[in-house]
Amino acid sequence: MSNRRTFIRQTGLAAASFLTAHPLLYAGSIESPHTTRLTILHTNDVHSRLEPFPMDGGSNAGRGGVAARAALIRKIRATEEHVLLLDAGDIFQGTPYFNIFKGEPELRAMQMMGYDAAVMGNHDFDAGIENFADQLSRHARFPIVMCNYDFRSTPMENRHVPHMVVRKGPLRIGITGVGIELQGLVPENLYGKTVYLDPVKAASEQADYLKTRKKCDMVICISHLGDKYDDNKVSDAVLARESENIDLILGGHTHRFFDAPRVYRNKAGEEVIVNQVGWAGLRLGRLDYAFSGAKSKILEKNQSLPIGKKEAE
Amino acid sequence: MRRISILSFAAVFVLAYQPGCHPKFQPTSLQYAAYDVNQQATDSAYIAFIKPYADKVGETMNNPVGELPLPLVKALPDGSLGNFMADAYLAMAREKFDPSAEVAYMNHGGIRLNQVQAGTLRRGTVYEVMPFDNLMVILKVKGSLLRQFLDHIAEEGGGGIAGVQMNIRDKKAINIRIKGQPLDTEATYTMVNSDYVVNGGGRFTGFKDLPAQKTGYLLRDAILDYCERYKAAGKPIPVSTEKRIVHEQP
Repeated sequence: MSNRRTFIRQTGLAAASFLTAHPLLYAGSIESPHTTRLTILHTNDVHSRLEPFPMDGGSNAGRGGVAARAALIRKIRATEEHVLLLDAGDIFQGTPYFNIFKGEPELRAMQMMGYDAAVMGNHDFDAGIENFADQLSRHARFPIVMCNYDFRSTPMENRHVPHMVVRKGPLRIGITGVGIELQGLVPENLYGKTVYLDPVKAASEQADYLKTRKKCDMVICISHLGDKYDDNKVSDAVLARESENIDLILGGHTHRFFDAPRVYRNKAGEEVIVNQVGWAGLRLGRLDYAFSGAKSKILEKNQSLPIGKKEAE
Repeated sequence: MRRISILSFAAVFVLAYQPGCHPKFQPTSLQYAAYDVNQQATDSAYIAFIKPYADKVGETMNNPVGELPLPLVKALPDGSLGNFMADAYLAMAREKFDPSAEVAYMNHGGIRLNQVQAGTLRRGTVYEVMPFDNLMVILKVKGSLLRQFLDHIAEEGGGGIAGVQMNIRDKKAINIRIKGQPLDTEATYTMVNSDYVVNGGGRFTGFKDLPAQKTGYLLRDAILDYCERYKAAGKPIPVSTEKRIVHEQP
């Protein structure tokens, strides 16, 4: 009996070590009919860059612009069944388009590209909270997802949601969003009666609700907190470590070009992925998740999600 | 033996599966990519969509405002772009509002392009460098408060500045010279700043309750007017590459 137990344990360990030693082989091997793929595309801090940077010899010359981004997105949509397109804020401000049109072409372009949701960045207040709400109501049908700005008695009161659930095939994806502290960053007259709430607490509450009540298979938090700071200012890193039930944080604000998604462990020891794609629409981020049904559930809570760089197509 | 091995695999699966536990699906792998948005493929519908906006923007924003002999660079502890902006604020404040103005500041975070190429500077680029509708404010600041503010700049790692030279050591401003003279904590200095910074943007709150001259003049217009002065005189825009803030190595 004791021999048999040892054998079982060893076999189990052998199986586990095979899984960790060959994560991509493993990931590939479960691309079965029970696997559902979700492609998440994301941008942040586009800052009114409707056109590519001018051909002036600068390092960004000829890069960016909505026409090129839209072509990329269309190509991906042509091959992927389940696509989510999200933006982590600072849609506005940075080119004369915003000074002249106050955000109309930015939001119209996002609507055309089929964005599913966005969060509000500090610069989205730059022409006043009234302007943002007004431009949204005229040009955008996608929701602004924010759970840590108390917008009561502001023009955003009925123009945002604290969370949303998107169904992609059999998957239920929960989305919430957080914004940065406004005091000392945004002039008071621009954000009006908006009250900033603790993003870790607010997002955790939403994520818990989405996972336990709404039965979401995954919770995404779109964030304009910034990826990390030298001091203990709240950031995506802090949110990842101190929250629960958030699987993925799509960040912004710090204009950071990530080489690869970062992996943190949350309060419960579960993995949280964080990603950010710089600024100005220079890059489009893509995360392809494979999902399996619970019957083939193999990954334990504290195991690592196999992560690999997608081959160029 | 073979039968036992199959059983043991089944046992591993049973242990891993927790019935009644939501969610129903679980991520099992992740592949990532970051696409460079280049012009290899563009969607013509979007070019058509932008065109009326682009035409309107182009009416004024392509206008040349001067010639840059050197590129402008955003950098810490200071850089030619931030210092150029501070120079413009100081020059225009002296010309329009207060000839005694001697110090000007441009916060690093408010500089919104990393670089401007040498050559013809266009109006639209000035908008991209300074997109905010921040207004010029002129303050009479006691030397001791100015020192606190320079310490704040040091703590932030630097910024664009005019009329000041200083070193940073351990996140403090040291060896401060105003127009070449050591800072006098008892003296009063005339400082050009933005309403954003004066109102506590950037987290320095020492100017909030100080009497201030609110000029109503856009800082962006100060840059444009400064450039126009040189253009009208047929001269290039002055670009200073002097180091005004220096990090001291410990």
